[in-house]
Amino acid sequence: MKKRYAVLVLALVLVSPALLLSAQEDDGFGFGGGEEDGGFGFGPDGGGSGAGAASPGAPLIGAKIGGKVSAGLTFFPDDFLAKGGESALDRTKKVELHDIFSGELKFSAEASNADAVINLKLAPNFKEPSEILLLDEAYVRAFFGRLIFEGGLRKLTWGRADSFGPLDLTNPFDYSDLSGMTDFSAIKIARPMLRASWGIGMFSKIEGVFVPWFEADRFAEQGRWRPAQLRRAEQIPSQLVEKLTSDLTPFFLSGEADPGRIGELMNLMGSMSQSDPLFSSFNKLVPDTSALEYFQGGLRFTTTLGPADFGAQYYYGLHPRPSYRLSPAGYGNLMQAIKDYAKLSDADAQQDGMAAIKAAMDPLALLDIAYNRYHHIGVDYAQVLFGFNVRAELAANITGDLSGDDGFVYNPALLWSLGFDRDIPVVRINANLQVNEKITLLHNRLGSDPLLDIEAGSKMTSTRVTLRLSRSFFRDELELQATAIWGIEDKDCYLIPSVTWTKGDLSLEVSGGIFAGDRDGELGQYRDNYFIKTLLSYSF
Amino acid sequence: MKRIVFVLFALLGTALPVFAQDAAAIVSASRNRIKAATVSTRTRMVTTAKDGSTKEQMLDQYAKDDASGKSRTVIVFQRPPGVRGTRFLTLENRGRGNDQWIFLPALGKVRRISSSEGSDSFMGTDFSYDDISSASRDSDLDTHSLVREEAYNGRACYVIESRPKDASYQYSRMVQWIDKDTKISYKLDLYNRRNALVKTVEMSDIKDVQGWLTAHITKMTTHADGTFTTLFTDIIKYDDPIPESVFTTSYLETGKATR
Repeated sequence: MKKRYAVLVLALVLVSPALLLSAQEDDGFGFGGGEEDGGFGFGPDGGGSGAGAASPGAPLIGAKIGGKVSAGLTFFPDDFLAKGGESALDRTKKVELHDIFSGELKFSAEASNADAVINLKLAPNFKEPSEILLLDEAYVRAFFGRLIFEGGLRKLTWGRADSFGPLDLTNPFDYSDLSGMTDFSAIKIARPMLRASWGIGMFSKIEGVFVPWFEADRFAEQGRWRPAQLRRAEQIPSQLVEKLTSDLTPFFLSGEADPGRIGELMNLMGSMSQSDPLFSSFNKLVPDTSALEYFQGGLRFTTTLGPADFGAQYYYGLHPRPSYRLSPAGYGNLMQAIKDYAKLSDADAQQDGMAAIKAAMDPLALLDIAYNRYHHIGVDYAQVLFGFNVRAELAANITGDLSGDDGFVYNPALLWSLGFDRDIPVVRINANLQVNEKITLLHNRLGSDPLLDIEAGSKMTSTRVTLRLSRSFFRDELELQATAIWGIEDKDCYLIPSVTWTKGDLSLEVSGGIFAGDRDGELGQYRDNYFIKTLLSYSF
Repeated sequence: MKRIVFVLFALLGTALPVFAQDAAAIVSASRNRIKAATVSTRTRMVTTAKDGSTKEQMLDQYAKDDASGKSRTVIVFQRPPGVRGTRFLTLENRGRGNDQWIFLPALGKVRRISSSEGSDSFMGTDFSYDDISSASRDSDLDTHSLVREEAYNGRACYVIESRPKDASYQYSRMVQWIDKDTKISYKLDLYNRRNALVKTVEMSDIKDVQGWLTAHITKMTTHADGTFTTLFTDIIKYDDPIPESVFTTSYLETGKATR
């Protein structure tokens, strides 16, 4: 894959200048028009371009290369402090510096009725050189009047919210590094999809999207950003042992079991209660979702009525996080294998009996894991009201658990988002506020056993408030920005201040991240991950 | 004597409204001088700081009134790379604020925006949002008076003072030099509410474009900061066909005008 990308990049670098030379000097002004002004304007032969135009009869092709190269450092002060019996010096020696270099390369080619885009990410991983070049997006669009067809690896944004709105569900997110969380588009994962849209009148549109297979949200499997949700999977062995002990006690006391075997079984379960490496690598247990069985698709209609924008959509999708439960059949097999072993007196048969227990302890046999299907219906709205740029979304995610008591299926949920932004006069600060909430329906029907109900112990509501304040100085050369994300129920927060100085195509950004609040919260769990980031970037 | 004085005052009294009427007519004639159904331009904005360093931006602008005479404008940013591909649509409304949307490539979607404070800097230049739209500012919004006549760059000009009727407008008065013959505006001095001269706009490099005399260089100087922004109109076309679909949010998203 690395070699293919290298060849692709080389080909594009060699070919694009030739295309640029053959393209009109106006670099995409208007479309149609005479040769003397380089194809400026929309002209009598305008084919709906607005870019890469040329006079009639000439090839309507323009190609562009752009991108950004960045050099910087992200370091975590906590890594330099004495901890767990290690001195500050010893810990400092183990520090790994990341993200020293990164970049983007964007290639685009345009004709009057088509365009193509390839976006690459440069993310050198010096331990894994094969991952230096990553394909971020690659798609083709064809324009047939009001009908647009599109296909490829794409990031799509539905809804009106500025970030993480409930209607924006065509693409998963990469949460494996929260230091980049404010760059919403960068953490979105492109997915292969087909899309068609039809323009109705001047401001209405209906579009459909088909995503042939599924990818869930990504989380770090190890390291500082590994979330507690994955650590929950590590607790499965100890929870399982606790359950087995409880369920087997009557059997052990019944006299059917050989006393010698009971002792062995207790030792065996003691070893089971320690973290099984396979459970801690939960992603290895989830099903392979790269088949048509895991397709997703939806329809969206948008329009503008007077001063307001509206949207409505339906999506048939898969929950971005897997559901798991203790398999009734698998648990039954394990219980039976233990009981059978406990009755054995023949030493020869004990070996087979122990093998049967270990086979029954296989996580893949003990756990049912799946991604739940759901029907999504959503509406959105945007309007400027009294100087406030207001945006709202409302959605219902309807899963198969309509009674709320199926622990293997997430309960249906209502989700909403409300936000606005406004320039505050006099101080000239732009304030952007957004509230997102998810309400789990039939919450009182949830089970309490985490092995039997994926949502056991979860709160009925999950609310996040995001506030961003920004102010520019010196003719937009200097920008100060502060972002705060509060988890209301989790009682935690994430603060991200930043200063960006821009001079022409060069920018220098210094930012930080501070997590605070309850260590059991989704944000507060990263309290030790406060960081400082510096980034020098050149855009071209 | 009294009769003569009375006649003089009567003449003066009738003359003052005539001057004001003439001044308003001159301003209106100047602003409505070019009668084109569409205007398409490519402009380079070069902002020069006090230390002489410069920042350049390039944008394309397409303007066309709708069937009811309300203005519609699309701006497509070409440079610098950080804003390339950003598209901006403004639809004038009567009786309520204009509708505005922006497409940001990084966001990947069209987003409605509220009108910025008119006095805010446009894209970090010396032009404010009000300044950008001043060329099409309705002359009825101000009270005009002819101050004097004088030459500017060898051209005989009317010097007209305009005072906004809206006291909250960022400028308390505007003084402009309008060519007596061609009605081209060459210079505009802008005064803040303390009546201090804050900015000066100068138009130059006048050329005939499709029969209309058009300034190709516009320079805005901010006196207190010692900075100035120069607009170089590299391309300008009048009455160039612009498809109706350009003034839609679909165009913002795709950059393609459908038929």
